[in-house]
Amino acid sequence: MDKTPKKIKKYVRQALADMPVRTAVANAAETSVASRDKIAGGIPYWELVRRKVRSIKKDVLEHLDEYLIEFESNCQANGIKVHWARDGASAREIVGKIARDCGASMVVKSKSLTTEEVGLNAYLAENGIEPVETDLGECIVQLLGQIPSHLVAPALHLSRQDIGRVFQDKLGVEYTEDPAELTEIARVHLRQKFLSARMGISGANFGIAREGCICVVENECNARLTVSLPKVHVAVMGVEKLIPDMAALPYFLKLLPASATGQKSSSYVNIIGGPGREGAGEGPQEVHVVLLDNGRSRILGDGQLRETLMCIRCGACLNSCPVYRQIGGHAYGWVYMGPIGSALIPQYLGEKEGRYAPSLSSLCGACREICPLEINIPRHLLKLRNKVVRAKQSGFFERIAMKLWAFAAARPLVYRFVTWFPGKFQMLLPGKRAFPAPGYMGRRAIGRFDSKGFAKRFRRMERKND
Amino acid sequence: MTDSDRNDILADIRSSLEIASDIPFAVGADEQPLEGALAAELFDDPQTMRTRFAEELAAVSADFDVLDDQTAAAKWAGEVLAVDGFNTLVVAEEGICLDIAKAIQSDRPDLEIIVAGDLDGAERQARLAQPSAALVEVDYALADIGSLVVLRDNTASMLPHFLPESVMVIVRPEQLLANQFELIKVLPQDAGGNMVFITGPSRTADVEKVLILGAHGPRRVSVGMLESAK
Ligand code: SF4
Repeated sequence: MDKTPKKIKKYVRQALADMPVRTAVANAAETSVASRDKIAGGIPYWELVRRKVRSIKKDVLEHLDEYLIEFESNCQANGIKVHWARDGASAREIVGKIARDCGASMVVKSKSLTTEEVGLNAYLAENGIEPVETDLGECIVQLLGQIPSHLVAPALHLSRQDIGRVFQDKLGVEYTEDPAELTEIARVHLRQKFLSARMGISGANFGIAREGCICVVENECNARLTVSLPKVHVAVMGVEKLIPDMAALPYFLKLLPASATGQKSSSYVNIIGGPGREGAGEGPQEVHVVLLDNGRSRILGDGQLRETLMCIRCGACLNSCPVYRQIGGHAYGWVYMGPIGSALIPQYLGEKEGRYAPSLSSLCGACREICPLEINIPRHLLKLRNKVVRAKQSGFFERIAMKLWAFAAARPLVYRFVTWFPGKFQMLLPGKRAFPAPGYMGRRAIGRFDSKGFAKRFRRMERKND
Repeated sequence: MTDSDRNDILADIRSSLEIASDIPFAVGADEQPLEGALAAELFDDPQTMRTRFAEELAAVSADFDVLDDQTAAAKWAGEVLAVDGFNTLVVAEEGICLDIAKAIQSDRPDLEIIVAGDLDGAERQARLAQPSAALVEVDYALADIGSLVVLRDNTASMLPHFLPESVMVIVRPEQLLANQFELIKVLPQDAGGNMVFITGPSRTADVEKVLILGAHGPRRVSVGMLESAK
């Protein structure tokens, strides 16, 4: 499905009109926050771990070049082939070539936002290689030709009836809406794919520099099978995903599953440190890691916004966000959504394409509060809104209105007149209504101009004090 | 990949890093209080640790039993097998699990035992993908989260841990550690690279957030703590 953040306004309107999806997303988000709170509340040193992890990530970002070189050389020592991809096109080509070289006509994939970011599935399909998503939620949205609506729960917006219908249509099975039966259908369908795929593709939650390995965290065991069964494994990983060493991993593993799914631990934490060795447990014969830049080095160049690269994609900020809870993930028009998506979209796609994304926030601060890394998303959204304006990407009428306001606000007499005038005009509106606020879909109104505003109250206070 | 991609990316990163950071918190902040808090989390005695392990396993829908010896282990595994009615039992290789499997077989001659390490790759995958149960060992267990840890290079085949529907796991008391922090301290130097933490059966909540056990991996995980290998 071709979506673009340029059409955010349209998607928001569509999302707000879809009550069943709004209810499903809001309920799921609320349940997720409650389970996260329960687990986080049970860890007495939660705040200390948060700070520790923050300081580890900060250190990694500020020495990213050194950590990348260390990671590369230790991966190579473990027999992992490391590739560097400047952008999405380069990543797609690298993965496509590995697939062709191993003769894969079909690849199994475990959930990876990074591969969604670079549009890998479409590229593989265009080149005659069938990509099969094996995470249940991803499998469902792939069958529907959609993109995920949540960083962690891709099919959050779909009801069991929707899923029953898509399985019936696309997999030719009898309709059922029983979650256990739907899961079983996917298990049987995908097991055949696991057994026949020559190549598996995953993302990586962490790249571990000193030990030269990657870590993939999951619940379904599909990532484990994606790594173990095919002969070749490729992990596509953003350059910012590094952590220094294995000793740092437990700190991250305290925060990630708790924040993502309200678990003390995910069911499977896979640490992949190279191809299978002779006579030892299963593993692929070839392991490749694709290190993706795709704008990350540019983001690093802003001392403030660099903090957004600390994100571990847990999705907690989505669940806590009052805006996401109403509009769901598809309204953002890209693979990253919710508060962190609002911050990443204009940074990855540019101020023109992503101009509306930073406005999808009430700046209430719930995202920062829940974020395990304490990323100050509201602060970054303000800066990004500012960048959008400076890049002259805000709307024409908004620019004119702001210019007029700035002109009037700097001249008290003019200001008094221009606020007095609409106040009088407003009296003519039936039922003493206020002017609707543009851009709020008719749901908000501008404060009444004839109300006792700050200036009037201040003058009255002054008179009283005199 | 071209070398120029690599060098360009590194050059861009270096030039970006010339900009001063505006991320609060100094490296190493709160190091001491955190170490203190982690130390306070350690268990006073092995029994408390074992009790916590059992509780955490229950919380992730895995069973826990204490097994006095191999005879008790065979009885336990036989009972778990009977719950799902499997006639095939997979073990990774020769060793204690195979001994226990043979002990079960002496009472149940219809039981087929598959030694995964004896099969070649394709056959092993195909056989283990059929409905079956497995009896496996792990390298460590973690009390605070109910996790089992497998170092891949220590087993002839890891598929028995992941492909069968019911997985029975033998854990030795000395393998039980307090948490991941303690695990990292005892891991062999070269072991970090290939490892899996397993916490309960595979699961999904992708259909309306309803929790279903057995997404792509085991539906049932049963842990037996074997007191004596005899
Ligand atoms: S910004 Fe924070 S809360 Fe949001 S996905 Fe990233 S790490 Fe999680």
